[in-house]
Amino acid sequence: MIIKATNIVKRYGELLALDHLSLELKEGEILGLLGPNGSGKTTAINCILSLLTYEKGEISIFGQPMGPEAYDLKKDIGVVMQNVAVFNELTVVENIDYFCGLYVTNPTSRKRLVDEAVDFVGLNEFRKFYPKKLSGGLLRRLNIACGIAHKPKLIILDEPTVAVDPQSRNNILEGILELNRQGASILYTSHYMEEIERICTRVIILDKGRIVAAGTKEALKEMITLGEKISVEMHSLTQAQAEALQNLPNVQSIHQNGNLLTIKSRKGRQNLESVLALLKHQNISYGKIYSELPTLNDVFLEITGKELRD
Amino acid sequence: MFWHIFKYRLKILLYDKGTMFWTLAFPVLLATLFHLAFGQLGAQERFQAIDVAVVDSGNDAAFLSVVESLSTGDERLLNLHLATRDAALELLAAGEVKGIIETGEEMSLTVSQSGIQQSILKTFLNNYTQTVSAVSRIATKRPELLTMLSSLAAEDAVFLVEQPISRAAPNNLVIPFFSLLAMTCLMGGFLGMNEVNAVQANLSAQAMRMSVTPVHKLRTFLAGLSAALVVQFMKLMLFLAFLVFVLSIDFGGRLALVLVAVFLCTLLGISFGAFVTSLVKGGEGLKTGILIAVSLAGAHLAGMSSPEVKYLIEHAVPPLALLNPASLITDAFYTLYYFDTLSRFTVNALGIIAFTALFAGATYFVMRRQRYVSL
Repeated sequence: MIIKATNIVKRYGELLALDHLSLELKEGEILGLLGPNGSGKTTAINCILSLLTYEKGEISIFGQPMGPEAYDLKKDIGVVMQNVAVFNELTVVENIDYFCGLYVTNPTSRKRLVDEAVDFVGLNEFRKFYPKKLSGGLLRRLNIACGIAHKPKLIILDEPTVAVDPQSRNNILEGILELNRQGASILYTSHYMEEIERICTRVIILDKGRIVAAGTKEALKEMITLGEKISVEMHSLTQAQAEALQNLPNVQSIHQNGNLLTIKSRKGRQNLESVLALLKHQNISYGKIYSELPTLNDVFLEITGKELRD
Repeated sequence: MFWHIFKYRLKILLYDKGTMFWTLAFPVLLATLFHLAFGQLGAQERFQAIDVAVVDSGNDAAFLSVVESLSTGDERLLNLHLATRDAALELLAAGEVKGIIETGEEMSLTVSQSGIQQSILKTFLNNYTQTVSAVSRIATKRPELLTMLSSLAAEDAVFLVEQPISRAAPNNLVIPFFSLLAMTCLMGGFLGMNEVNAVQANLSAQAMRMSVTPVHKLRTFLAGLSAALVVQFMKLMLFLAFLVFVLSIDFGGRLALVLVAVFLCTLLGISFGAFVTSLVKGGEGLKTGILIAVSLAGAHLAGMSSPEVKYLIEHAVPPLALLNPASLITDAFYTLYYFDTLSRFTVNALGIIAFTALFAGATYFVMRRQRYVSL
């Protein structure tokens, strides 16, 4: 087991930030912590890293108790914080070398690792640049390079793609997958469910410091009744047409928003065909029609009654 | 590991433009302004011989002899203009003389306005008439003492002897520069602040990253402090060189002790910044504000804007002078400049060391914490 946290309780005054949180990160997996802002993701990470005190619980990393002075454990951990943590007075290469040098003392090995990290995050053209000259996306990549240059066995990334453009986000996510392929176990937090869905092998959904669901993406989606979401571009329905749609097999709810009708159905093999047949039968004209499988946002919505980005 | 951190902290501190401004550019700018302002003041304070017209209506040869002797040499008191009454009045009206002394049975002084030079003329004339009167009275009532009086005059007898406590001349105009140096030392607190910010996980993202590395926090802090010490000491050396070689400020002849004082003050400044940063709750802006305010206010109370303020505080509120690090630093440099003995400098140096120990101890007490309740 790479990380094992058991029954962590953390309070900020009266606020219960972590409510008996338990999680395990197995070797070679990417574990996603998904939850809205303020759900306790960063607090959980800071407790795991022994930056924060906590009232109750136990945390071990690589099978050893984790504490502020567990330097032998820290050697094999790489952390990418939510806030960019680099020095504006140092160039790209110097920043990476500085942080890498805190783990790797051999200058030859360090130089090789720094070069690999620069290459890995695609900052070769910007080696001599100072951080202030980098765009937001490039800065995030530098932030990642500083955290992973020493080739750690465990990498903890706390919302590394906040305020990053789609192209840079794509590069960062690809990079994380590559790190995992190279053997690193990864704990990844985000409030972007698309990212979690894309890269994580297992997901823990947090809300108000509590785990509301945990498992593989597929298992989480199996936990909810929603099976399919059908969207139809059309003008408004009459009362009779709406009732007819509502009475179709498996339909849970219908919702019209402007020219978009959303039909939520339970799992079923012919939900889309039923809707198309009804539209044809009732002679209802429509534009595009498409069907989507449930997302982690739907899982969160069904369990907590609110959207992930509320 | 120590050298790795030291090397990069050195570069970070040297490239920090904000700190560079407050700890070097700002003091150099202020020193230049002070030099321009106090340079003029010094010129104004140099004594100028007083132009005086003497109208010898009474044919007073003795008086003429006295004023002529006072009107010769580089350090003369008077510029003598012998004139008729009308000519003297014209000179007075034209402002070419400050007063007219007329001899006769009643010696008189005529001035057209009041001022320091007119007061000096009046004092001189009063002294002269009182002395003449005293000698006349002795000659009338105790003529036998005249011989003794003339022998005393011949021996040029001196009853008050000046005992200098220093080889240097007292010079209030160096105090603003010494207190400016004190302010610069305290501004070194910015470097202390940077070093605390770099290791306290609740103060910066960089420190949070440092806290998850396999390096002990105090080890990182010591390496950073060493870099801060080197950078700030070098900056103070540059500033000192600017004061001595460009502005010709006299620090006395004890270069080695001045360097020791600068080193101690560097430690004091850095520990002061670390103390404020670790103890004060609030953002970096608040801490920066406190550092600047304390440095400027302390230097002001130590005589930066006016040497009289320093003496006023020392006499009216002695504890304030003792509790003001800037005052201690200023006094340390002044005692090195002025006093031949080192007793007062030693007291100042011990005060600086005590302040440094207090600040460093309190900082350590806060910083030894490795985990936080919140970040």
